[in-house]
Amino acid sequence: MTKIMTVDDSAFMRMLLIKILKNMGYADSDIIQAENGSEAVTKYKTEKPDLVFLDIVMKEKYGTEALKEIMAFDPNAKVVMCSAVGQEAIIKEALAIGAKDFIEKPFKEENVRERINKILGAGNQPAAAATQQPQQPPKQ
Amino acid sequence: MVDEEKAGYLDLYIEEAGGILKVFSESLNKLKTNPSDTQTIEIACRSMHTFASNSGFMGFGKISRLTRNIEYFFDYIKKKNTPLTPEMLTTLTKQYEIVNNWLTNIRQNETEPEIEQYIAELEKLKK
Repeated sequence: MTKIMTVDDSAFMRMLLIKILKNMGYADSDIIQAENGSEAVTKYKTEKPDLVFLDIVMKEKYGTEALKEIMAFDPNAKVVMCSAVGQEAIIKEALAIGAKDFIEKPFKEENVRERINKILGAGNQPAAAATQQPQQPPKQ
Repeated sequence: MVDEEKAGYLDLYIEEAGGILKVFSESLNKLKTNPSDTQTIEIACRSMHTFASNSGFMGFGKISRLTRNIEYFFDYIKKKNTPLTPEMLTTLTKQYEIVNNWLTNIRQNETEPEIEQYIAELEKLKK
């Protein structure tokens, strides 16, 4: 079973990503949530998710700090940083620390799907995700 | 109007946005007594960062742009390592009230306020 962890201090943003993951075929039991960097590190160690979507600006511990701790615990960790406009320098730093990629918020389903395919491969996804066609992005 | 898909998110957006603005307002009040409190400046900055991202997703472009600019203003204060002046706090409090009033009435009227003058005020404070 592929486990994905979403880390964001905004419940709203976590819910958006969870909805996309469920559209792709992931079940509740495949999805782990953390609301700050400290909780992300703790849950990574216990749950060992296959992929982490990690926000950058969070209370208690910034995404880059959490990333360092996760990478120290597991150098093979697969982490995608979730960024906002104007965070290019932090993204560069995160990629240097070991993040596999980044994704801009707000999330779009095709972008989430593309990152998961690229990092985990289609074979590691739920059957529904591997066969489902990408949805159109929401109208702006 | 938010589109049909996003309308399903409106309740959670409003609930979280209200909590974020409460944190921001409390931060401004703390900064009135201690204008160089770096921890509180960080909290205020972070709260606007989240507010701007969430509002952007919902399609509230003007509110997102205004709150993003408030975030950038706090970034500027952090980089300059300078205390907030009374003039800055007055401006930020006024802008908080504009965003808060809009959010309070959002169910009746989603029309966003014109914001360019407020962004200009923030830019002026940096000079």
